[in-house]
Amino acid sequence: MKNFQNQAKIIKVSKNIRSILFAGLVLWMVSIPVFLIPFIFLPKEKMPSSMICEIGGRVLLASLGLVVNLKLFRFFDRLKNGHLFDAQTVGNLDAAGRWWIVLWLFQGLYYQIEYQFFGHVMVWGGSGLFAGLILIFVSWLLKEAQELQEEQELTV
Amino acid sequence: MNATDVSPKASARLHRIKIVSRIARLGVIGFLLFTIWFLSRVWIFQGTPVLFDKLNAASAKAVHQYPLFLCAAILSLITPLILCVWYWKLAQLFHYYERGLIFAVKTIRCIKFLGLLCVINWMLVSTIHLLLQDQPSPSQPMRRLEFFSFDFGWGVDFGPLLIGAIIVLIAWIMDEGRKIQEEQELTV
Repeated sequence: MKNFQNQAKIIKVSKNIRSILFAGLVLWMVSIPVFLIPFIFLPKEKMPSSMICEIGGRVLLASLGLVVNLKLFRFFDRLKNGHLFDAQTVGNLDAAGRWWIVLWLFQGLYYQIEYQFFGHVMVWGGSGLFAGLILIFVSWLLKEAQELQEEQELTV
Repeated sequence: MNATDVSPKASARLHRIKIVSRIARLGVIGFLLFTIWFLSRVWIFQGTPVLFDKLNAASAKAVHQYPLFLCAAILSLITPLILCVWYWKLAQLFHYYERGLIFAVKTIRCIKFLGLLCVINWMLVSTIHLLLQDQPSPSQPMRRLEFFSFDFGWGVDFGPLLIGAIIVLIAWIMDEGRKIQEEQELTV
């Protein structure tokens, strides 16, 4: 009975987080074409190289954000469907962590360029790196559970 | 073969988890010590926190806002303490992993506590922000583009609340893992 209650709670919370991540996914998908609007409508002669650099950076940032968001969305989607310890669930979490670290690195580079060339003061902390490493670590722990479950299924 | 016997692949991963946990524990303890040193430097050597200063309150828009300042000051003293407890609990969690206690009850309790601390901290920070909403902002605006940041223009970031919920969710998932491990031990 307690086991069932825990599963139900996981599914319920995962469903809510999945919905939030879905909204995030839509936002990222909308933001990428929005960032590209000047590229499409402005003539190339009127676009300074600094602007191209800024827009390109934003598009890349948004794309990386989209990938992290997508991996997390898939992870919570699988949790919502009750697949707690399987290779795909764990793989999605691991990939989200790795992409988050890539996003963090790119954010640092982009903010540095923004500061050097445009004087924008941007806050870049270690939270992205920390979150990425924690996700990878949790995926290792889940891999342990996955193996336990596989052994259990083989035994039964 | 008994329940504690593991395959070489799993054993290698467990060994890796233990090594990483040790490094992480030392790193977190380092962060904790740095935070304590930093806070004591601010509070002891630079006097009382700036919000307790009545002159500072008087320099704000209205003197009658001083009780709000005081409230926010008291709350802002609690948040660094919560941060220290969070670091301490995280170090404890890595200590459990270092000992190989991945799906133990105390490990799961520790993860849940970390999630709850995140939520409590979010509540305190949001309250402080709402209390000081009318205060002047810094002269140079700082732009922020955080991934897990949900500020809907009210100045309250819902990201930490979501992170707290995710940590509690992970604790529940680990609890499921614990049940599988217990079943496995009983079966073997």
